[in-house]
Amino acid sequence: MIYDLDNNPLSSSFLDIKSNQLQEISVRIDCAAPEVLRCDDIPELTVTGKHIDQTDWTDLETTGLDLSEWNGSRETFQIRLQAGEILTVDLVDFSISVGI
Amino acid sequence: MSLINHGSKAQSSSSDQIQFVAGFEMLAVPQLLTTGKANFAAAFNMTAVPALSATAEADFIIEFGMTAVPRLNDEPNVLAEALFEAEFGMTAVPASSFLEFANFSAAFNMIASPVVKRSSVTTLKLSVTLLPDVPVTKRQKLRFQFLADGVPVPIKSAVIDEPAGSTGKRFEAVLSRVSDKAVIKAAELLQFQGKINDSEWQTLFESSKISQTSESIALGSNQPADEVSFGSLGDLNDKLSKSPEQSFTLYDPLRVDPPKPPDEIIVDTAGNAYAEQVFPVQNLDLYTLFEEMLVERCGFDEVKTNLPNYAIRSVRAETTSTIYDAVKPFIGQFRALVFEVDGDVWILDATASLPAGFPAPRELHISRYKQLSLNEQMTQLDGMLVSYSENDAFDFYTVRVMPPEIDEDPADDIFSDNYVKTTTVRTFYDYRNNNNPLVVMKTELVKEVTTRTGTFGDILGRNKLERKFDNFGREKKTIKTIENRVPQLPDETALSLQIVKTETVTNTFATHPINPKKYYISKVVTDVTGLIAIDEENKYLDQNFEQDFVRAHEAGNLKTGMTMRTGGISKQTEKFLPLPDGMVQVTKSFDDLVRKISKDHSEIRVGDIGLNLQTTRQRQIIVLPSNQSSRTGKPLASMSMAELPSEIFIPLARRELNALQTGAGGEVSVDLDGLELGIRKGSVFNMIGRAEESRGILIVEGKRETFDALGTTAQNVTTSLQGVKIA
Repeated sequence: MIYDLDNNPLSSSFLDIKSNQLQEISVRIDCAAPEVLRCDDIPELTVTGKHIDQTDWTDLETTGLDLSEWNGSRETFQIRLQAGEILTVDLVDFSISVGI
Repeated sequence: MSLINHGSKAQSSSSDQIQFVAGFEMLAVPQLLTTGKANFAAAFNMTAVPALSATAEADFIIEFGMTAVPRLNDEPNVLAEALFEAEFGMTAVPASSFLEFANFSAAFNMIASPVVKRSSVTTLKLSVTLLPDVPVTKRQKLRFQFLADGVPVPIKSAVIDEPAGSTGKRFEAVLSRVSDKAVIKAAELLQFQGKINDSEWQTLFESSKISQTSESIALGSNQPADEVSFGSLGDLNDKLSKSPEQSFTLYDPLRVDPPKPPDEIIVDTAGNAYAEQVFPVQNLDLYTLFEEMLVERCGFDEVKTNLPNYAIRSVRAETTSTIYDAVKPFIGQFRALVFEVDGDVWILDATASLPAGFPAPRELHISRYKQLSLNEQMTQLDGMLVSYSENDAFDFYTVRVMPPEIDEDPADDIFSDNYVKTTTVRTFYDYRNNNNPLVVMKTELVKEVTTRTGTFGDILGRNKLERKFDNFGREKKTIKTIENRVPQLPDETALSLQIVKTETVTNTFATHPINPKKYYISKVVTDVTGLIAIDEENKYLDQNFEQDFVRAHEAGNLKTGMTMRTGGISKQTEKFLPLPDGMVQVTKSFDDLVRKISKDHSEIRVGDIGLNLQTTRQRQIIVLPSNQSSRTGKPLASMSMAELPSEIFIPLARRELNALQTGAGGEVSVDLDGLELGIRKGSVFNMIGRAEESRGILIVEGKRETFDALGTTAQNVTTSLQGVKIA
């Protein structure tokens, strides 16, 4: 399960992002081995993530972040969305998922 | 040939791949903690009980009978992909809560476990508005053009309206030249485009036809002031207005029986026949429904949504309404915002709140308002009464022991000769779901001990009932134990408490041969064991005479010199076989194990003995603002959540409750100067007031753009937004 920082279950939300802007969100996740935090491949954005105590960011679109290290506990993760050059207003939908 | 591979002798904690293949029979019990791939295949009978805790892929393939029970220590397994395939009988009980893909197929009999959780992947759906880096200023250089089949046609004014609560987009305009009426009526593509400053032309409205024209002939300032206006509906309306040619039902064959279509086939006046159609869709869920209904049948390129996905049992579309009408009950709880962008239909959750940990949405500053009005209504409520439908399937049970029930007779005279105190202690299993652990889905009595005592607490007799259930909650064994005070032959004639009889009823279950989603009790074996009295002096046909000890004692047939033993008294076996046309063949055999007498009997009875593994029931639950809240005597609001699962509907009900209590949910209307291409239905803004303070978060539910005096120096553009405050 994915939660916001107040531990409310989180299934959907919305964001705005401007050209070349970096947006960061924080979520809490019930971690279980061998599940992985992933994100759909979105051409318009680069999505990376890390555990709050980590320093290195992992590409969630290609690699995914293995949650086994925190098996059995609810942990805070940061997710960054980096936009490229945006020329026209557009909407994109995608999923951030936790699973095997 | 048979292959028996007991994994307990070859225990492994990890393996890249394991494979078990046999020509006829196989029993495979590997104990693997992780494996890349596991295959179990046999030509005839197979029992595969792999204790897999994590495997990327597991295949169970068999031509005849198969029982596949992958689980480890009753803990959920992690199976990325599992295939259960059999030509004849199969029981697959993966009991897995982490299973991404599961395929179950069998030509004849199958029980495929409903214990499998479908949604092994937790998903956060995001809709992101991408905004170009164009500085938004109050002064905008705006240009507009109206094109009929690509040819500019001058217009005086226009309105693009996307009302709140409506899915469509409507365009109305007044032509500058009355003579252009014929041009626009003949056009196959109408486009209204705009550009801000030096940006590219952006299409603000597009449609393939006009839906209405009006004409007025008038005189103004001594000159003709004739006018032609026209209206057009966007393509979204066309697509969402489609009705099915014949009514149809989509249903998930893994969860519900096929609906029985009406016997009557409707014909039209030209003689065409319209038979209702029924389509099975395995693992039917909201996203599959969107694909089947809105893409395949309505013609959208794609459905984009931030609504959470959930399983759906069935959906019916009727010829008397639109296909979209059939979808509405599954998205209405989210006050879904529906709009079209470049051929894709967007369906957004208007109840979504701004989560803690997310950046604040873009600001809508006071400098951009012409006018803003906000109406908030705060309602005093304790909670939300939610109606929902739920399966009887359960994840776990808790044990509940009731306080002893005591009955004394006569109650007022403990020293009476016929005083008996009966004490009954009952133990129950309360079956629950992980998603909603406080709600008891069903209750079963699992143990009942009844003890009868006399005046001084001496035990006169004790009956014990124990019921054992399988993973599906089916009663597989019932054990009744009777203890009575009887003599202990041959030495003790004084009465002492002994187990005189134990009756064990064992039920065997099988897949229903006619309806594979059902099961039936195929065999009931009743074993009676207990004390047997032995008379070695009065032989019967030169053998020791043996009889049921209790009967002998009750009849006064016990004598000194007799002995006793414990052994089988009787065995009764009942077998049931469902036949077509609602008949059932019943075969009974009875063996008196003491007197060695056997009886057999077979008959065909009328009756359906099929049982459903899962049933659905309507339930209600009061959702309080938080788990720490309690009722305070204020009223409840109510919502119907239909098939939404509790992990989705409880947070949703809390969001709606919060909106009602705090005034979030209040109506907002904003008029803006100029054009804002980045605003659509579903756009979210932080409204900034005069003192640079936040006046709350607005989600746009409706939008109206008004274009006046086009092509003149007095050109005026206003964007009006309707929405709700969500925080």
